[in-house]
Amino acid sequence: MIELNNVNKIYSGKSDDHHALKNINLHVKAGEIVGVIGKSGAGKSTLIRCVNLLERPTSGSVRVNGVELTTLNPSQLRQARHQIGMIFQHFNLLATRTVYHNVAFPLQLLKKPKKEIEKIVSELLEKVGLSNRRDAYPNQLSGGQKQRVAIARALATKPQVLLCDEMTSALDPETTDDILQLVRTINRDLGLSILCITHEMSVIKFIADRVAVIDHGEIVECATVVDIFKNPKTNITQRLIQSVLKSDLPADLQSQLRFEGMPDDQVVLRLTFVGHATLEPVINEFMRQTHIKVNILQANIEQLRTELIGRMIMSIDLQKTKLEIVQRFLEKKGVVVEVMGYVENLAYAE
Amino acid sequence: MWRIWPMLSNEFGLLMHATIQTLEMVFIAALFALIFGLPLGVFLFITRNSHLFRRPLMHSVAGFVVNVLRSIPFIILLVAITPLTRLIVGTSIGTTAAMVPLAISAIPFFARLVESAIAEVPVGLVEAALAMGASTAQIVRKVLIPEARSTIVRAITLTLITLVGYSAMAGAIGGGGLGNLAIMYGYERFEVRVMLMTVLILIMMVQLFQWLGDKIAKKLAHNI
Repeated sequence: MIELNNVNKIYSGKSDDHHALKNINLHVKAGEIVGVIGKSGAGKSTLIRCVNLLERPTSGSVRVNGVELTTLNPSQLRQARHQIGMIFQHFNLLATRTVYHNVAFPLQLLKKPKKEIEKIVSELLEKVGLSNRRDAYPNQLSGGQKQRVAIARALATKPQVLLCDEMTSALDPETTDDILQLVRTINRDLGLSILCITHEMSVIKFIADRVAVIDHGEIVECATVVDIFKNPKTNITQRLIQSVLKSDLPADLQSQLRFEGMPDDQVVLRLTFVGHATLEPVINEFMRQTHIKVNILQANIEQLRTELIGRMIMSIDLQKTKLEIVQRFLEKKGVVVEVMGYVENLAYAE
Repeated sequence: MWRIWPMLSNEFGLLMHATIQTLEMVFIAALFALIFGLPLGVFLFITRNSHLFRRPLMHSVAGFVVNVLRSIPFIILLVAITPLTRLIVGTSIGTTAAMVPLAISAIPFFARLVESAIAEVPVGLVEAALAMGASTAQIVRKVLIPEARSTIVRAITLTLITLVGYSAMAGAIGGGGLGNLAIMYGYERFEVRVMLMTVLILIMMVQLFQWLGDKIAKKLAHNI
């Protein structure tokens, strides 16, 4: 539905050129929600603006709904844009129009008859739960309500593609959940393909099927959300995941951590549980079968869109067992095991 | 010169007549400022906006002409364009003649005010409209002007008030209206009462315009 191939964006400056996007390849299939995450300045805003050509890529191909956009003339491009909905961080509602007329706006651009507009707008306001505010002006609405109006407006022309540019970044956590829930419902009911950019992993974890991590204008990692959480490959991804799935050591332990182990040291392991493993008493079983005591230093569990994922950090005394045995046991249970380091004589140990 | 006025000899009649002349000059000049200045202001804005109709050369030329007109002192403009005035309205004295220089100075003034008014419309709104497939003309008509309408009303108010001041100046060289009355009676004949009355009427006029303008602007604004 959205296919970006070898997209580059270079801003020419006086002294040097800024390469904002480098060889971006990103595909969003029909009905899929793909998230793009990155720090501010990583190029994600430029990326999403390239999809509807608010920014024209310096090179590369942009295909939406099967149409190559970069070669269209202005009037064809406007036609294509009617089929691409977009919502923004700051909602961008027209302040002098009521809720009703904001949602009607894209239909008025298409010169649809009044009756048809009335019907579509009423339905949409019903869908986003704002039928009772149809004559309110945007300044009379809360942030969450404004974003609902913006979503209704984006859906008015029945697009197959929805672009979300930091849609929840201006909202409080509770409202964020409501809006994400709404977007998920829309995706399910209308089969819309959705591309969202955000700097919050919590957004990705809640709605995305797949995620691309962007850094310095490059996509450094792209995989399903579960895979990214289970096995983050780059530093930047690990840090982003940390923000929702806390898996760092308490500071005083962190400072004692060594990368080379001594014979009587304890090993610190980070375990990642995915899917069914999160619900089974794996550690309990491990302790019963091996009679090895473990120290749990940190643990939590998170709901991704489709699966549960858990993180645990524990330490084990290596005098009584071999690391390989521990690893083999846990990996057989579907747990990802990672050695974080070694500490001597843990203060937490008995 | 004042003898060409109609047969209203009493003071009240004089003041009424002059007031109507002033209003006439101000409103007709303001009307022209609106008709020509609004599109000119829009043009100045869209020719420098890369999303809309970026034409740097056209922008520079239009901007230069506007700046030139705005930098000529009104009293000089009044005299300098006499041949043009005669060409357009067939005479170079009287209220009708005064309307030409008034309009010519008001158009670029108002255009700049319009330009800055629509430049204040959040850029996100233009982006959103573009993303929805709006054309430049649609963005101007349905986004920029409606969203800036409250500021544009304030610009009209400001233009009207500036024109009241200028019309008094036009009066000084035979344009009629309250300015003329003040100079003829107050300055040249030392009839302080008439002069004070004209000043009082001018103050009331300006107050009224400002009050009305603020009221309408407030009613139109929904973004506070």
